[in-house]
Amino acid sequence: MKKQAEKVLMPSRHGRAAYWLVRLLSENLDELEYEKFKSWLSSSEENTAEFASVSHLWNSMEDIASADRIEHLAFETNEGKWDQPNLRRRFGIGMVAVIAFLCILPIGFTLLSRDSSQPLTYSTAAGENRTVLLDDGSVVYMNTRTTLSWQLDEDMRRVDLVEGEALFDVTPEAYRPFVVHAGAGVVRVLGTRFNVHRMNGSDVVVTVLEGRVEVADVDAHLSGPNWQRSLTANQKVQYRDVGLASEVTETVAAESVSWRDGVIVIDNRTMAEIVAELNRYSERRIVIRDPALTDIRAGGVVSIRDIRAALEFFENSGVFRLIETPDSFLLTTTVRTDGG
Amino acid sequence: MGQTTRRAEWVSRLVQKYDKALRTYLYRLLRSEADAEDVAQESYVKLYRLTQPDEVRYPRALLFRTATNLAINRLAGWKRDKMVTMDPSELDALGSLQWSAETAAMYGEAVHELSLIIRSLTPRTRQVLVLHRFLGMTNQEIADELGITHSTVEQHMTRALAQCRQRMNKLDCFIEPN
Repeated sequence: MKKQAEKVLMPSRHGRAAYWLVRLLSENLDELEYEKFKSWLSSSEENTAEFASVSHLWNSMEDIASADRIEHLAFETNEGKWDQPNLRRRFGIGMVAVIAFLCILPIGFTLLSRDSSQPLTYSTAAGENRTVLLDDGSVVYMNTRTTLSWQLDEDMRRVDLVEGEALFDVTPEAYRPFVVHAGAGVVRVLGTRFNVHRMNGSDVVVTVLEGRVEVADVDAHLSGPNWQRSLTANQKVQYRDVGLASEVTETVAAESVSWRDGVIVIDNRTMAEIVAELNRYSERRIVIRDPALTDIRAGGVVSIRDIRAALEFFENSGVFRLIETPDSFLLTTTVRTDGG
Repeated sequence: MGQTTRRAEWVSRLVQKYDKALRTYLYRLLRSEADAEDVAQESYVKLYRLTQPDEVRYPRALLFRTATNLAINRLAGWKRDKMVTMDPSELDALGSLQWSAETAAMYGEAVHELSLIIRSLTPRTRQVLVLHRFLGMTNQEIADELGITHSTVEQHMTRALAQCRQRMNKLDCFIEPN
C-alpha cells in the first residue's frame, strides 16, 4: 500500500505538501506513513509553511459558495433545475449551489465546459491595468488601452491582441499550444512568460521573460513561413505589417514589463518617443508645443500611474516647461518669459 | 450588552456551527482525539480574544486557519520564536486576530479566483476534487463511482491541490491574509 502511494512522483514542494494533505485526508493512512509525514513536515520551515498554505487553500474552498454572490443568484433563479431530491437530502442547499456554480451536472457526474465557440473580449482604458485569469489557468496582465480576445478550443488556446500590450504567463499544456495573434505575426508557445506590445501603427514587439517562444508571420501555416524567429529569455523581436521582422536582439526583459509595477524605464530616448509612450497611459493628451523639443534626449524611471508626476520629473530636470489645460498637457521650451 | 457577553455569544455560535467539522479535520491532521480537542479549544480562546467579532466576515475561515496553524506548529514541534518566522499570519494569531475590512476583501477576491482556477482544471481532476471537497465523498466512494483505482483518485486530488496552489501563487493574490 505504501509502495503504491510513493510511486506518485511530485518533485515540487507544492506537490509534496499537496500529496501529504491528500494522504492525511485519506482513509488508509497507517502509523508508519504518518511518522514519515511528521518528519517531512518538521524537516524544514519551508515544508511547514508550504503545508500550512496548502491546508489554508483546502479550507478556503469552503468559502467559494458564499463568496460568489453572483453564482448564488444564478443558483436561486435556476433552483428548479437542481431539484434532485437525493442530492438535496444528502448535501443540503449550499452544496448544490456549489455544484451549480462549478458547472457540473449532478446526475451521472457529467462535466460541462464553457461554450468556447464565442471568444471572450477584455479591454482596458487609459492608465488602467487588468489581470485576467484565463480558463486554462494562464494569466494575462493587460497594460493601458489594450483589447484582446480569448478562445479556448480542444486543441488550441488562442489570444488575439487587437491593440495595446499584454504580459502572458502561460500554463504549460503539452497537447494544446498557446498562440497569440498580433498584427502580421503569430507567437506560439507551450508554456512560458512573454510580453507582446502592439504599438501605434503596425509594429509589434515580442519580449520573452522565461522559456522559449516561436514567432512567425501570420500566413506561415499556409505556405511555410516568410519569416520565423525563435526567442529565449531576455530576447526580443520586432515585426511589422509589411512582412518585415528584425533579427533577434538581446534585451533586459524585466524592464519591458516594468509597467506592471506602475513605472516605465526610459533610457536615453527623444522627447518625441517619450511623449508617445506617456500618451499611452494618459487620459489627457500630452502635446509637444515647441518642435525644438522633439529631438532632445532624456531618461529616467517614471510613474505611469501619475502622468503629471512623470512630466514634472522632466520639467524639474529642465527639459521643458509644463502647461496644463483641462484636457491636455502642453510642453514648451524652458525659456522663461518674465514680465520684467 | 457588554463586549464580553457579545464575544462569548459569538464564540459559542462558532462552536455550535463548526465544532464537529473542526474536530474531524483536526483529528485527520493530528491523529489524536486529545490533541484535536486541545487545538480546537486553543483556537476558540484565540477567537474569543477578538475585539470586534461582529466585523469578521469569514468566521469559518478564521477559525480553521487559526486551528491549522496551531495544529501544524504542534506537529512540527516548532518553538514559539520559530512559529512567528514560519508564517506571517501566525502574528495575527498571537496578537489581534482581527481581519481588517481590506484583508477580508482580499480574501474574498482570492476565493473567487480560486473558484476560477478550479473551473480551469482538467475535467477528470476537477471532477474528483468536487466530489471529494464539495460533495463530501470519500476517496473509495469516488473510486467506485468513477471506476478508477483509489490511488488514481489520490493522484487527481494531489494534482488539483498542487495546481490550485501554484496558480494562486502566480497571481500574487496569495490566499494568506497578512
